[in-house]
Amino acid sequence: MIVVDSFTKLYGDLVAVENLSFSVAPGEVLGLVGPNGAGKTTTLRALAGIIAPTRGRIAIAGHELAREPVEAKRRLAFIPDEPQLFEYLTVEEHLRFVGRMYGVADAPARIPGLVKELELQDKQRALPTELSRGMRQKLAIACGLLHDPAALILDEPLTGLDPAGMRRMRETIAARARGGAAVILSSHLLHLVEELCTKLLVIHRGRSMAYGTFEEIVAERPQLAGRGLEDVFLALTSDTEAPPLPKS
Amino acid sequence: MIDALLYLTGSTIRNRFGVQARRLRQPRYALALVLGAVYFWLVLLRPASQPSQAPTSLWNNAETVAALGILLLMLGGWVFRGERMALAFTAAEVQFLFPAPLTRRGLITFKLFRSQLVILFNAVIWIFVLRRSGSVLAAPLRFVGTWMLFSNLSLHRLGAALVRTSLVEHGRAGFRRHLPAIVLGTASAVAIFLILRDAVPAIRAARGASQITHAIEHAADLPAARALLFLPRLIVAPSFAQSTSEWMRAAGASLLILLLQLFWVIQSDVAFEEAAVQASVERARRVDARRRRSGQAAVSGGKKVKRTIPLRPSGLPGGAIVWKNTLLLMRTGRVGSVIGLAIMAIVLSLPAVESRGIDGRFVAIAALMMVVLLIVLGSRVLQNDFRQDAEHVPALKTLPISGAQLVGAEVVSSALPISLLQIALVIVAYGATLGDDSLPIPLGLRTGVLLMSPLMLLTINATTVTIQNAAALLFPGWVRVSPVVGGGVEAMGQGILVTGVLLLTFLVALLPAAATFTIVWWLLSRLHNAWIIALLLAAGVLLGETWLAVRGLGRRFEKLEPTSSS
Repeated sequence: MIVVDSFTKLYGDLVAVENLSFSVAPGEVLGLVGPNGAGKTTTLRALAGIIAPTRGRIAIAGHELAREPVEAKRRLAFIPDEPQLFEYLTVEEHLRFVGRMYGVADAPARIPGLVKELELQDKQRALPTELSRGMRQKLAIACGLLHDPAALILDEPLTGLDPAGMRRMRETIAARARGGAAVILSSHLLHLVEELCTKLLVIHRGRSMAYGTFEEIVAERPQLAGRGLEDVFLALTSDTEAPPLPKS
Repeated sequence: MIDALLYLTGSTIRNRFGVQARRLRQPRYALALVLGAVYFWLVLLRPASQPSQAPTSLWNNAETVAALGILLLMLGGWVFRGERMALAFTAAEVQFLFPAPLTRRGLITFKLFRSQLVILFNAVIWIFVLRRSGSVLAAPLRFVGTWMLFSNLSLHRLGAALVRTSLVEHGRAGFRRHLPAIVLGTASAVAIFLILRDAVPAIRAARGASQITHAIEHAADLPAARALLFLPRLIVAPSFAQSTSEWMRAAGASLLILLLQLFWVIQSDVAFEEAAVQASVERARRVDARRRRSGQAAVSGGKKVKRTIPLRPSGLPGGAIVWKNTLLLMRTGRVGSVIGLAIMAIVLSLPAVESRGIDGRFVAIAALMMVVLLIVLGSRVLQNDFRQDAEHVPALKTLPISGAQLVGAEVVSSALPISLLQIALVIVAYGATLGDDSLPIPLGLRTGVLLMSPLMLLTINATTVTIQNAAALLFPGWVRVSPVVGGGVEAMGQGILVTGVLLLTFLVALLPAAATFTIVWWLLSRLHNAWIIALLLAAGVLLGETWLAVRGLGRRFEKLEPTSSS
């Protein structure tokens, strides 16, 4: 459903991402993890069509982003870490805007359910300036889910949510994957990644350090056997010799 | 501490220039710089072939008009909130300077110092713009005069903003503290009442432009008006001095006012914190909105949304962009001013339509002048297009819409409301002269122009809006959209230069259409209404040019990468 082949992004002489390849099938949740500055956001922005790859190919639901951007984006939802809202549209108007933009004919029927699911029913006529950080995040999520995307890309989706919101968000992501969506989830919350993701892609300095299921990654590195994701992550992304692992 | 603030200012300026200079490595920026340099030379530096000398009477009237303008701007500072933004600190300044061991007075001084940079730059521009105005003064004296004028104006408006804030925040205590300013303000209000009481009947009784002008001149000579214009006249006097010695005397008075106002503003530090915090919060909201790509328009927090516009869930995606931008117009009050202008024009024309006399012509000319003014300035003021969406680029790029469709929808969002207002004004002009058979333009031709105006105006506006959007899309690093800090009249020099560039580009874009019109009209000159066909074809050519530009800009949008800010 999401196919990335030899994706490379250069900013002048700076190599932000180099030769990244992976795929996410329907129903899979890929955890994209890496330290700050690893190239996660660059990768996600390229997947969302915000920036163009310097080299390589990205396809969403069989549509290449470079050749058929409109068709690819119609099947995609990108939920950034900072909600990107229009300050002068109300909650309901955001959803109507997205409905028209993505050609969701039954948007008026879908909106009430989605608003209720994300507990925004009391804020339907509120402008984003009147919403808390968590509410803004929920609205961004609602906008991303309205057109039932085949590919869902989430960047730190739990930022700003309260504990109940976090739980609901985790359930929503899992439900979307069960419904057949290909999901990419980028987060520094490794317990979230561990809980939800069926596959992992660890990147560091723009390069893939490990890709596969957690078991596959550990199996290729016998020294990490029996360790948790945090230890594996630190070992894979450490520039210097990894600190001695605590005995488990 | 002053050293640190100077270092902050110096580093900011140096780094900003550095970033701009690095952009010149890109061919399009380098080319734009060359064209800009040629433009500056032509407009600002080219030596005048024949230095013009304005007649003394005209010069005296100009001084009165300038004083009147200054008075209105000063009074505006008491009525509107604008200048408070001069106190707006950036989020970083709030974080670093507010908790720093600095007095509030020190912070005001810092802000005043920063605002001087804009004033000095614009004073230089004005000196070049007005170099052929007929002044006999040497350029340095004109520069100092202009600098004092803008500084006086800026300080007065800032002081007014501080008094307003203090009154709101401190009630009675604020009232006592600002008693002198309040007394002066009240005296001004009384003077205005007296002037209006005497002048309005005379102006209403006047017939024709010359009588109205005479009535206004008479009103400006009333004792109350003389008292009211006393201070503004002193402020503008150095700019209108006819000799160096006259300038020296005038500059002394203007400088004294400047120092008094500086003292007034600096001692207002009780109100400063509240005003600065309010302004900074306002600014922070706008900046935050820009940085979060969630809108630049300042929508008052807590303001409940009551009205909306229906949007069908299916249809062209560009329709959603136009819908979104129309809601922005509604909610920022900009559509209100546009509709208000149209209603005002119609109300003004009603008595004229009844009288069918020379007043009708006056209204028609005024309405048509406004149409032209809107062609030049409408899209610069409205900015209901890509310019207000420029910081939403990351969000817009994820939408399933082609670049050309998106840019086209953005252009329509601005061009349509401006055109609607202009069409209303054309109708007003037509209605105001409907019964006037003595006009040199026959009724048939006027009716033809009326019927053609929607197409022509929409085409022209689409072109001007496209040009301005092109600037934002091609030079995102240079074009500052929706300035965070209000420029005020002291920053008008920059505005004039930018408007000149845009107008020049528009005239160049108009050339093929003008050529088409001329050729077709000449070829079909035997036909009765050849001009209609020529005009239609010319509109088609201009529309075609605009369409090609929109397509090109659409491709540019698709390649635009927000992180590169190039």
